[in-house]
Amino acid sequence: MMAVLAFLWSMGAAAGVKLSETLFLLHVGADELPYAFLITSFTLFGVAYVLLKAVQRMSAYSIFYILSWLGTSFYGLYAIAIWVGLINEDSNSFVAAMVGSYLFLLVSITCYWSFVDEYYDLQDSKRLFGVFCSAIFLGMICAGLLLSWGQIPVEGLFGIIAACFASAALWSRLIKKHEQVAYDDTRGEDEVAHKVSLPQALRLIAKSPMTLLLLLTPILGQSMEVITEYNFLHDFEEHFVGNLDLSLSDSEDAALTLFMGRLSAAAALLSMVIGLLLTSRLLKRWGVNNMIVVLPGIYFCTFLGWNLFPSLCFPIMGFAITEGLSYAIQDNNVNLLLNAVPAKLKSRLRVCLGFFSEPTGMLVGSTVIALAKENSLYIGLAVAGIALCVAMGLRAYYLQALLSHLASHAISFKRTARDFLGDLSGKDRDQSRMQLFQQLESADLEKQALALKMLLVFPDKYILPRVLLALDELSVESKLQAISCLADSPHSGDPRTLRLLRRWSQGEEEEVRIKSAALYSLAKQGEVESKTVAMYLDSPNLHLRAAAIIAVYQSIPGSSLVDQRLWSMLSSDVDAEVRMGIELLAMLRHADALPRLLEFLQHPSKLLSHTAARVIPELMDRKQGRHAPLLLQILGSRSDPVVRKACLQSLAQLADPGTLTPIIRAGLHFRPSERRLAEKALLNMGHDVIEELLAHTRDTSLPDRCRLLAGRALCRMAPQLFREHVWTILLDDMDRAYFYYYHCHTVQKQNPLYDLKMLSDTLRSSYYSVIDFIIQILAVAGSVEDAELLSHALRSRNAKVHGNAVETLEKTCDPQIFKRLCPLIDDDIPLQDVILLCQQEGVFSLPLPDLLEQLGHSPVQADQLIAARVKTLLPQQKPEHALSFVDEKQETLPL
Amino acid sequence: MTQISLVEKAFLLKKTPLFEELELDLLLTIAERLSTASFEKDDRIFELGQNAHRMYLIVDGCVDIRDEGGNTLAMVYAVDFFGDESIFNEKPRGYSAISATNTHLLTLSRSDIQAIISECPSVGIALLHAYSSTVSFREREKLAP
Repeated sequence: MMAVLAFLWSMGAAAGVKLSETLFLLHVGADELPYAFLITSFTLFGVAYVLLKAVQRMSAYSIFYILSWLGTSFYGLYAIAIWVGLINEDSNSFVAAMVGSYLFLLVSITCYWSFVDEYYDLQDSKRLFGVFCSAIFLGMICAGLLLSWGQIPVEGLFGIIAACFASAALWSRLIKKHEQVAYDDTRGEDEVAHKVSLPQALRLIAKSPMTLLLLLTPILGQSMEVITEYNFLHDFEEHFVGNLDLSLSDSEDAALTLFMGRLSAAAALLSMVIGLLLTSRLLKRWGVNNMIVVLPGIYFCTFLGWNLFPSLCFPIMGFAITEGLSYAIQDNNVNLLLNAVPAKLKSRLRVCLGFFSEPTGMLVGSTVIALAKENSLYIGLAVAGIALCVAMGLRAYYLQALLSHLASHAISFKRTARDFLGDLSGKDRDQSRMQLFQQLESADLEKQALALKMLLVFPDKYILPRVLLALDELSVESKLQAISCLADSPHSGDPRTLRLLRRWSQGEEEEVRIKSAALYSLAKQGEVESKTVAMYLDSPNLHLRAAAIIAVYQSIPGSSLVDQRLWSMLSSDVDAEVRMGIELLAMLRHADALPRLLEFLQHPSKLLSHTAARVIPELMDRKQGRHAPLLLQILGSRSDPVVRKACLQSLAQLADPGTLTPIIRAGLHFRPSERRLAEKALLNMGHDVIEELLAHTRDTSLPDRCRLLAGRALCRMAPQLFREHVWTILLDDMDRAYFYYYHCHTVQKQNPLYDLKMLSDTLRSSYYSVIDFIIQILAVAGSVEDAELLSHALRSRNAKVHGNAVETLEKTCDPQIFKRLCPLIDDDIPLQDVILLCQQEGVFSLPLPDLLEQLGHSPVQADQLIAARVKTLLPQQKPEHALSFVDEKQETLPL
Repeated sequence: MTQISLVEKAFLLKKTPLFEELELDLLLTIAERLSTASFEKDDRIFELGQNAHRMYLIVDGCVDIRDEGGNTLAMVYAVDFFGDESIFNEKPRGYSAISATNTHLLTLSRSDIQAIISECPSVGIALLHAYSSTVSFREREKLAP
């Protein structure tokens, strides 16, 4: 449907341009052409501006639809005007027709590709865009044939052009109604592309080398075309008439025209063949990143030969490239490469490429030719060299751009508040700072706390004095909260913070609660002498007592006075006292701290277990290995994420190789954040565990999630070794995937007398599980920096993201593995073909009893359970029950 | 609508029942993924039967939730959210959302929500809480005699 649409609008738009050009030349004359081009270029800028605004407000379909009706109206009215005799020799109307036709052609190209792009991901685009390019080209050829036929009056031709545009509008409506757009949840309900302001867009362009190079590509491409065109026309002219002194005679004129006509036909045929038959195959074999080098490479070789050998072969090659290859390859490549630029820029960039880069390229090419006609072949070689370098740059940045594209679609939970605030632009940072100080003055304690936390991690070295000054003005409750926030902040030991706390602890006008809290904070920093606070050892004020305990313990380590108070606090009935006791125990690094704290980790009170969870990992080191079994036991028995996190952090600190297998086995139930911590724990164990990790990754009796955890850690520890073993790790899993795929699609058909829905669903589920495992292992092996990113993207439901992820996988994984995996992850391959492939891969159709037997010995628990269940159900179904069941379900009974 | 800064988004998230439990780092992580949308009075935010990609948090203003017949099912006000159901059941929108006043919204995509729930189960639990407490208006029609 998209190819038909391409044919319709391209035929209309191309015929419009050719017809209006002819009318202009006939009625106005070639002398006025520069004037018409000048108007066209100015109008182009205006239209580009409107289009840039439109892509932020309307869907690509709406823009294309409106454009098609505008085209219909424009050409329809023009046809009527000619028919009723309103247009005679009025030059302005011919200028308007010419300007309008150019605009409709350019805008249609841009809008068509934006519209098409919504329906396909990168993998589909690689297959289909070449065909669409050919359809556009075919439309243009048909437009030429229509005009050269000469049997239709001008108003009739304009009427046909209007009809083409109207058909395109109606056809696009049909497509919108019947075709499903590629799922992209980053767009709004209005299906409008990403909204991004101009400064944001410019910042994104500046940060993306791929985008910058892509903007250069059409400039260089158009320059090349202009230079090549000048050179081959010059050489053809020389070849046919160069030896004659007289002006062109009829015979030479006819020979040249015939030659050009034949060449044009051959180039058109070449373009069609390449577009329809070769482009998608070459893209599949070489990839977009390599295809982008092809055209500049051919240009470069052609100009090199052209400069060295005075043969007609090179001008002919130049003609073929300019008139044939560039349509079929270059436009297609640019459209595909747009998938790798930041998603927020895509629609705007397409407009910029069509309306700014290409005209700039024409301007550059013609200026260069005008200034240095004599050296145009050398200039062509130089420009081809630059274009080749740019293409090589695109090739080099392609993978990185794809990964950046994927990253922009994924949430990274690894970034901290400081990272986010540090990434703000200068203006945004100033604005945020101002907003945070405003919130600090708010009466809402929660807002104040949030604002203070952000201000204390704000990447600004001059911010602390301002924050401390602002804190002085706060209420008592806010000051208490601020003391706690300051204690947890990176500025807790800063002399300016300590000065403020000292002032608050000694200030006559301050309330006792503030004084004691400030004193406690100072004690934690070792800023309080024991003699000044020793009298508070039995104070009812918790903060004063805690300050005294810290100060006395620091002056007399192991003091029994302190021990007594500590144990008394820990055995108190008041949670706040116990909590303080836990904190002090950890802070003082008491000899008996860990056993007591681990008890609290299992405490039924969330407040106490969380307090213990916060401090335990800080006390763990490699010497505390005896606590590992208890930590593993808590990890296995508790579901509280805070407690589990503390266990994993502690295990990471222990780095005990003896915990490797239990951690991997526990990996079956890890959340993403827990899995990251478990990975860290495995990594901390060092290179001695590499062999064990490899064995676990290979062990098909382990659940896939556990194997994946081992694989991830192994890849981070020894990436080269992991990549070397990927094939052997996945060999059995590939076979499993084909086995599940084949049987989930065939088991019911081969055993129609039984209701095997439950069995086929289980096989399907196991298939998805294996595929997910394979993909994740490949993502881990292939991703350079962020393994999670690629595996998330490969499982994404967003078609665009998934398409780019498959492309990334193709670029990063072993071609042998990708070739075997591709049929299973490519949704466009027909089911029957994949089933046939399964048989070629060695999957034999198992009779039902054998299948159930095999599943009964599967390492996957679900397989075993369902196999056992189906075995018990089968005798009940056969024969009468099964027959009646199948009768209801299938209507026909294959007896 | 003036651009909402990352910090403002974080403050707004902290006010919503879904995200109030989250730590600063996570709040900013989610805030960075939020897009903004503005609607004038009587603008349609989405229609019944439309494909669903996103859920909405109201910054300010008020949104009228309407059924097939155009009857108001609920009015949703600032810091509340809507449009989340279709994200999970993957069905088309089950109601229309119309801006009852000039309304500013923050939106979050389906894949982002799913990633957030996977990372922060507290958000999933808060959503469940919201469902269980609002089941009356969501199921009003079915429960009606």
